[in-house]
Amino acid sequence: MTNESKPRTLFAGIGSPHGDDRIGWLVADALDESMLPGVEVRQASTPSHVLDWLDGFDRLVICDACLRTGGTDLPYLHRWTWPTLEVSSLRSANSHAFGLAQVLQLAERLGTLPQEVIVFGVEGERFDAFAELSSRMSEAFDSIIKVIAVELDGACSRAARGSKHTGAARHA
Amino acid sequence: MTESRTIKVEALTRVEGEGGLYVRLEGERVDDVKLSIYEPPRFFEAFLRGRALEEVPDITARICGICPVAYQMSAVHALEAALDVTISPEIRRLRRLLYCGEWIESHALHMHLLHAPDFFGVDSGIDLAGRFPDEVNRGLRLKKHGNELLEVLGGRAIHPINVAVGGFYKAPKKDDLLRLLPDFEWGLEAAIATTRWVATLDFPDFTRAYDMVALQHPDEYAMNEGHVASTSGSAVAVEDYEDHYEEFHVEHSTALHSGRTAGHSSYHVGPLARINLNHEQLFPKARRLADETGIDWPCWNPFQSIVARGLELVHAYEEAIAIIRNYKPFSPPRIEYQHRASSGCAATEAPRGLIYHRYEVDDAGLVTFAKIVPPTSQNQQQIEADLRDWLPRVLDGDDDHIARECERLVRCYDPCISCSTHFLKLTVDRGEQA
Repeated sequence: MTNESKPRTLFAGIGSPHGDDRIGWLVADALDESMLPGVEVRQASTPSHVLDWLDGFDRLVICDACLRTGGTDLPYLHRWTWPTLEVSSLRSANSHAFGLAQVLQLAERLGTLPQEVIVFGVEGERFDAFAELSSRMSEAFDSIIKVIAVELDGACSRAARGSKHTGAARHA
Repeated sequence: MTESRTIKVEALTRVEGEGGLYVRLEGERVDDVKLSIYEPPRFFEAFLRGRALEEVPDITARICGICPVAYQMSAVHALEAALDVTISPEIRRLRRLLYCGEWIESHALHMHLLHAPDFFGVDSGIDLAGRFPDEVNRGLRLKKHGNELLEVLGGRAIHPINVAVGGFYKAPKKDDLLRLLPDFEWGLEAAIATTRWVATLDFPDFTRAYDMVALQHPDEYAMNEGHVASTSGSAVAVEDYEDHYEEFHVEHSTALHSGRTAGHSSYHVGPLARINLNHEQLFPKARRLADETGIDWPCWNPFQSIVARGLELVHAYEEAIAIIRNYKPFSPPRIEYQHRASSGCAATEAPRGLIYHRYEVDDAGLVTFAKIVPPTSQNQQQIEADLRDWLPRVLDGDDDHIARECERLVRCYDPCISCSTHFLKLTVDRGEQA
């Protein structure tokens, strides 16, 4: 790959195989299939994985599940531009020794964080071991993909065609 | 009048998973210490029942995002024992290489971002990076090397999928491994520099008479197999592990505790136990470095576990480089086997300590029973015992000071509460009692 064609955007889907915590991985799968130009897609099982991949990117887009706070029918899809206190106070679906906000702060301190960082937090409700996505998350999946794909250079239609889910997410 | 205090750490930081710590003091006397793990148990063992044995490595790898290899290795060795499968030397070496990757990733992360901050009075790895950017950057590069090795051998960055009962689904290409060598050669020297750095830290003068337990092997630094040895002199076959070490329920934790079967006494697993029992078998540079640290091994100070991790980091690089240099693609990558009704067990050394698995399978290859004993479960009782001794030394401050000192001790064990069920929360109870 030449320097000219090297992806400038890193997308990292953080997740686990447990219920709605799958969402980061599933979004990464769908985006990977749609082969968005200029985007490198990665799956991470802990936020600290992201530290390994930051070299050479101008933009970092992250999707991770967070705990449900609202009472709406469909999961809220939060979009935050780093730095923001909201990511720092995010209640992640998983407790990691080194959480997402800490990873971003550390990269910032070391000068390795891309110039632009967007975090999508998807509210989940079901995190049982090895459970499937909740029905609400499944229904919202296509919409989540569309919103994130638009963020990644407006390629929503290609990404949406690659997904098997239907429905809509509320976008906060 | 005796003053009574209860100290609660609601959420321990810089540990994997969720748990809490409760301490009750009567004056200067430690009345009660409870490491409270409150995340609901994940019932992985029950989940495995009825599953095809071939699914077990993949399912168990997903128990923990930090140490998937430890679960996979223990699972495949236990199932191979049940099926009477003998793996080839090539498969065995490749499995050690995979484990080297996990030790490098896990030890580098814990040393630099989770444990080292405690020795500089800073709250996090982020603050440490402000003071020691070169050291933290170095640690992150080491962590990355471990993950890259896992990716080459395991097939992907998260939860390796290439590990199979009987071997690997696919042997790696020589070029893919050789490509890692320049980074690993740099990493070996960087790991040595890191270990020299942590060996100079200011360690509390705190030693305990531990019963340290780890695998021991006659020919190598034990990772994947051996007998269960202890610093108290016992040595038992893995098949007899459950006769000598027992899990039991305690009310304040959703994770089972472990103890010696006789009297449920506590024991200590992890890098310090391994180095104490097996340091003569470290690779040459790690072995020389162990002498150079100035620590008189065996070491009984839990705070110096960070040095033990450093030595294992160096060892893992040395062994990984040796295996990669001598690697030749081989066939078959996986030994064939026949299903049969049987049972088997195995113990391996996860980054955090000994992990034991036992399975029973039927003649259709379905799992009928599974037992998994992770290292953090085994260390829980030991951590509580340590805190009882540690607390009287740190009572000369306010509750925040005491809580910080307790967390500091807990982090020596690099607990992965995610594995034992899933973080740590301290409660100090201050009251007055006639």
